Amino acid sequence: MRSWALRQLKESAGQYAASAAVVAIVSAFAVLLLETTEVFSAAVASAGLDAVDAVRMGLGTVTVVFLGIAVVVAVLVISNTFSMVYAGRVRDIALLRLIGATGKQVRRTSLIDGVAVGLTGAVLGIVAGVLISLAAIAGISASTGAELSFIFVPQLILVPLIGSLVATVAASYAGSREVSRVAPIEATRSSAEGQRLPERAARGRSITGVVLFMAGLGLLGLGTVVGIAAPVGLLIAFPGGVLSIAGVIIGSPVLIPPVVALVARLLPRSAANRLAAANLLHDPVRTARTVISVVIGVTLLTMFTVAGEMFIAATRDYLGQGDDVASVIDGLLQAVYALTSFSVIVAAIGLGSTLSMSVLQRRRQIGVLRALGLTTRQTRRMLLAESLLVTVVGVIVGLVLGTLYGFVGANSILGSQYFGPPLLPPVFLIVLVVGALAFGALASLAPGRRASGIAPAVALREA
Amino acid sequence: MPNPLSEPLPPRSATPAASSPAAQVVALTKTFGDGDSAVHALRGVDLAIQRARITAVMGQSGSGKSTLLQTMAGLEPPTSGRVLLGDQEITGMNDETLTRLRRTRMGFVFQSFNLLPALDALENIRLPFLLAGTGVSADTEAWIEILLTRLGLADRAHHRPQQLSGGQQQRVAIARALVTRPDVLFADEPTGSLDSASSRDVLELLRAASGEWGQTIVLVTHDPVAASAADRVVRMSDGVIVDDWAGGSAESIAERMLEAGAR
Ligand SMILES: Nc1ncnc2c1ncn2[C@@H]1O[C@H](COP(=O)(O)OP(=O)(O)O)[C@@H](O)[C@H]1O
Ligand SMILES: [Mg+2]
Repeated sequence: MRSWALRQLKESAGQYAASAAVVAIVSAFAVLLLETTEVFSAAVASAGLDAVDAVRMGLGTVTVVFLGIAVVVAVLVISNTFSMVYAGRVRDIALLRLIGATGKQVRRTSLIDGVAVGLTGAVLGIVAGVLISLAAIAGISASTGAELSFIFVPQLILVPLIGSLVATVAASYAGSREVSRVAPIEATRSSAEGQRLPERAARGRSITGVVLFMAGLGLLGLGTVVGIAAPVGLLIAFPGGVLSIAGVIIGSPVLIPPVVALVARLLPRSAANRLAAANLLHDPVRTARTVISVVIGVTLLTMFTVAGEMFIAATRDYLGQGDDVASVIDGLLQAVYALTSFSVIVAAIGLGSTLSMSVLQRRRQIGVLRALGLTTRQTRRMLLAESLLVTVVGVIVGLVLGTLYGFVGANSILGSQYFGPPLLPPVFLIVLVVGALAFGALASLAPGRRASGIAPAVALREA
Repeated sequence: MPNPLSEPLPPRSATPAASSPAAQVVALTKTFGDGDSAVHALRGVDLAIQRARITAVMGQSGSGKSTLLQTMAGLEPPTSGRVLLGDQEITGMNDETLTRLRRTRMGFVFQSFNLLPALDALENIRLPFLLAGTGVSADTEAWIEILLTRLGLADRAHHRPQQLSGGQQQRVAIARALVTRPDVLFADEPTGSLDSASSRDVLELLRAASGEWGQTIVLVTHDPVAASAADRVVRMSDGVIVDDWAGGSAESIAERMLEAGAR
């Protein structure tokens, strides 16, 4: 069993590259955030200011929030990889089950993959993070004359290492849930099935998702109302935001596909579009995970932008003071964009690798389509449409959620003095939409090229 | 299952001169790889496929049957020789043109059915029109209705492939191959994954398509029972055609194959 697992791991190494990269990026991000906290605190302390605790607290919160979000996105992306890799092993697993392996044993082998990916990514990420920190510290010291130096604390290694292992093992466990249920009989069946939640699990998920989302909305509403009376609404609204986004994530395999179907219906009725939609809807779990990884980034960007704009408007209109506050908030927004970019990069890698792996899995199907008359151009368009559908749905859902959170967030703090409508700057909207479309198109390039290179004769060769 | 042959197939709209072959290969060779590892899958094959007939291609595993079918269908480029569809030379056509040709003038049935799991039975049958981007005409809709009924799939139209038995999946695949009324239907071991009852259904359907509707069919098989549905049997061995006769009963075909094998 162990040697089988190790052999499988070796064969899947290429497919895990993207996941290891994702882990490395998040680990490096963790090192950068932690080191920033240390260096900043030391600088404040050496300047003789007694704000050290406040600085630590503030940067610590930033670290927890943004790192936490990046980790959630990474886990979504990596679970997708694992579930697709494992889906490719269905026949093998069924054979193992046939000769007596239990579902539990099969599941345990997934740990090996999880640990391998987590360890590889963490080591690379920690090294990269430390190197970037050293370079940044040297750069800042040289340009500002400040006496900054690299500070080593054990957390720099422990946090990303342990975090990566926990996250990848959790993701591999989530990804292996489907295959550990593989019945021995499936050794004789084809492995091209999409992942569907069993009827009961789907119902359970959608109910849990909707209940959490509704409860979250309730708190968001309450927070807004309280915010009109006193600036403490955020204390109520914040858990509401967390609950509602958790509801969206949990319910996503049930809630996202209908949105995909709706958007797909608005596209021109070409073969490429129609097939793309069918492919996405055929595997609601995978599609939901990919969409959600986009949703999270867009939600964050939108939320901070909307709240930031509302703060600027409030200070201008109500307090009558303008430009200083505006430039401070603009600066904060830039920092937030930079912090969010890590999650966005992770989502982009996830989209590209999910598409690539789905092409690998669908070689035969694509061969059939080519034999039946799908041109190479149509093949590339099909992948482009899949990618764009995911991004567009992600952007729509993210914009709705982000605008809601930004609006509630701002009013729950400011509402008692200035209750304002949500503000979504057109420039932001344009950059977001254009950026997302470009990112979707880019992610589909390599998988599209690979798909259009599949020879139609593949369909006739026996697997 | 209702008898799939209870309704007649509509006549073919335009029947070209019965004498000219529907497809033809001339001095065809195909070599995979090169140097020491080269495999000569076809070593000079001449074959003309008659219209409105079933031509069975038999032979042992590895004798080049599938390679011949794929090359004839423009799925693999030949190493040398010519491939014609009707009187049109397809050797050297670019991928785009070939793809369009397959879409409109050829039909395919595979051993492992190869329906798209993301589409239901009816969508799978309509797939060639979806790929062509042409709507489905009222005439074709009626034709699809007839196919569904005749293939015993009327109540399965909205089932996914995974919800269908192997025999049902293969019947959907045949409907998909017949829906465009192709010049040639290429079938590679279409009964290879089916039990004997489903195999019989599939063979009866192919017989009906050729006998009543004039469908030209190239049927690759190593099974004498399947070959007994054919009007003509050619036997391949080691990349060349070594026998060519009018077929007959499964027993007589099996006997002739055995004799040849013993020699
Ligand atoms: N794509 C390929 N690459 C290399 N060799 C091939 C390929 N396809 C077929 N062959 C070889 O060509 C020969 C004929 O194969 P095939 O046409 O599939 O035979 P059959 O269908 O009669 O079993 C075999 O030796 C096979 O291994
Ligand atoms: Mg073969």
